Amino acid sequence: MGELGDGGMSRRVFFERLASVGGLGLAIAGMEALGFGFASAMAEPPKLTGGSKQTKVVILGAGHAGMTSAYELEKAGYQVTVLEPRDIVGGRCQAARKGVKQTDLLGNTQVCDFDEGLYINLGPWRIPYWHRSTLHYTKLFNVPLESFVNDNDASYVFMEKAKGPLAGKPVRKGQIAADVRGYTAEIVAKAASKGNLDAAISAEDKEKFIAYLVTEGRLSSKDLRYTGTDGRGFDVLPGAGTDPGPGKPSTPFSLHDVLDSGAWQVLSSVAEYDQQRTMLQPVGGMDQIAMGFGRAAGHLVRFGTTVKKVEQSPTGVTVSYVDKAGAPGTISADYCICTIPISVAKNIDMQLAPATKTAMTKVSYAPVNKIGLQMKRRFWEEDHWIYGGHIYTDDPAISTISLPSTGWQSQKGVLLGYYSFGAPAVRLSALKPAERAAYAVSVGQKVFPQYAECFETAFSKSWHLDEHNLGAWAEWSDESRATAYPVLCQPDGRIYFAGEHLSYLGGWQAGAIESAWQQIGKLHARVHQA
Amino acid sequence: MNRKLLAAAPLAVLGAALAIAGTAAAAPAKMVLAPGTTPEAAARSPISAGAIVSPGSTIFFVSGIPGAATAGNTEAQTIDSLTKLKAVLESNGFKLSDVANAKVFLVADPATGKMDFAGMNKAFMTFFGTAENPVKPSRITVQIAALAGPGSLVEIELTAVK
Repeated sequence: MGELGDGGMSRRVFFERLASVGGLGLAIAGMEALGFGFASAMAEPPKLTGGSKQTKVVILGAGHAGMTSAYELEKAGYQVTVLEPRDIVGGRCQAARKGVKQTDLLGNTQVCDFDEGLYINLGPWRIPYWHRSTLHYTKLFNVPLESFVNDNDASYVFMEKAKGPLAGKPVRKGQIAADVRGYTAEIVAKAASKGNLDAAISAEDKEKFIAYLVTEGRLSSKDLRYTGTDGRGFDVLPGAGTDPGPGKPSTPFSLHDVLDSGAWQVLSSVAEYDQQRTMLQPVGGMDQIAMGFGRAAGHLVRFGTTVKKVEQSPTGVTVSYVDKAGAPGTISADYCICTIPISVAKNIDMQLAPATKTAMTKVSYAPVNKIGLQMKRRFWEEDHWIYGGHIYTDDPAISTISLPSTGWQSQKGVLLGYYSFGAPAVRLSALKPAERAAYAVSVGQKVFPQYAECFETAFSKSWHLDEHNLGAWAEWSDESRATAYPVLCQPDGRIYFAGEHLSYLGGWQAGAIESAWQQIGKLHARVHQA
Repeated sequence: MNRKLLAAAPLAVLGAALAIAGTAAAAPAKMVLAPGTTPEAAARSPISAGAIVSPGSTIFFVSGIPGAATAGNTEAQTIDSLTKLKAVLESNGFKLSDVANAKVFLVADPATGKMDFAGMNKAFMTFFGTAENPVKPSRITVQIAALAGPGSLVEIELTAVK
């Protein structure tokens, strides 16, 4: 322990002086200079060098934040124990496959009856290319990846609450995109060409601007008109010989009908940064990542263990729990990392400062529904020519229907029958699983006439009805981000918090992993300061 | 047994086998689309490109029924005609989804001097290619000089197969 008065400035005092002079940023820079960098780089875990000084850490929760912490700390020489109420690692990183049994808070028990080899990801289901932390572990644990189709112009948009001839009819997204962009480009190009936009665009830029619009809108360069384009599809496909020969191009919708349809609401120039046209998913289910953590650090986990109380003193922590057999027990350690979702943690008896407890009350968690529907035939591929991607609906209880990005052209497939949020999700989840499935099938039937006939079996998940989550992810308001979030990002005595809720990547695996990296980096620096 | 009898016996067996193979089960007509028709074009269309009848099916030719002049415009008269045709089908043990072919005869709408093809189609699509009856028959639509009943703008003839 470096103490004041030992002749030299202790490292702790040095950092405290840095912080008071230059704020936290300077203190972090100072730590990095000394080799104790926080995980400000988001691609790799912090380098926890110099040993653990025999430090014991108890980690609450075996989701990604807990398992990341456990795996990295154990590698650095720490004595680690993870307490987890479920019988598996992974937390929200779950898939339903044959035999998976779950009971929700309403008492609905489901046993998944999908065919061998088929599954549905119940929690995370796609990985952005820039989530380097998630991809760090897929590579490390040898989890093979494949493409996830996140944007398919052949997919349908189905707007019932719309007007005009396209309302209530499945329409190919690419046709809406071609037409609305074509007509828009035509209107703007003609206006620019006539000189109506001279106040908005310089003479130097005008020609290039019109050239851009011709390319973007597929306009005729002669008269700047949009009259359709083969990219919007055909009524009869071109082929060999004279029949079908050139085929028959499709006819554009009118701008009025497209605007009336509301289908343009699913279009934008680029999506949000965490959505790309193609993303990544593990082969065989997102829980392959959880299984990777399980192989690497599962030996540190006590399953079936429910935390009842967390106490702390200036010298350590004590966690009281009930084990698999129902017997009470305690475990003591130097530090605790609590990765339990705040929705659940705030109801656990934890010895925390009033400010911490107040902060925990400021987080709400999102109600979210998913349902996997096994279909006996992949009619979306065979009859509708859609290979992966999302069907957009304006039924808020459904939101999107998503098609599997795997097993192309195989006999059966499991599709995501809904992915919905908020009050509509809560209302639907109040129904029994069989009724939830019936509703999902009734909506899908309106888009795909083969839906009901091909439906075999379902498995539904409502995250707000999972006793270990009480919601799919944390939701912060501007106010709670400003006041409560920074409180929970700092340790309360010897208790650290980590999880997707303590990141700006809420609901993403990377949020959980990077939050854990930051917290263990801080913990390790503190162990070496003392 | 002389050679003639020996030769005849296998042929008789073969003939019997052919007779058995030729007996097919009764079935509704098989609707076909033009090759290369895209699903979205098929979904938009009120009709199929053709209907193939398999051996052993029962065919019901329903005489044409005009729309009543009192029903109103072409669209309303089409609904009137198809409603009556549906009743005839059902009282003879057939359903709308058994309809393999429709012949539609339109008279020029006096208001425009042209047949109201769109109005007829709008009504037609509430009977065929719906959630209740997903089948779309093959069809021809022609404009003619007149129908027998004064004021009738449409007459439809259906052929059902099961």
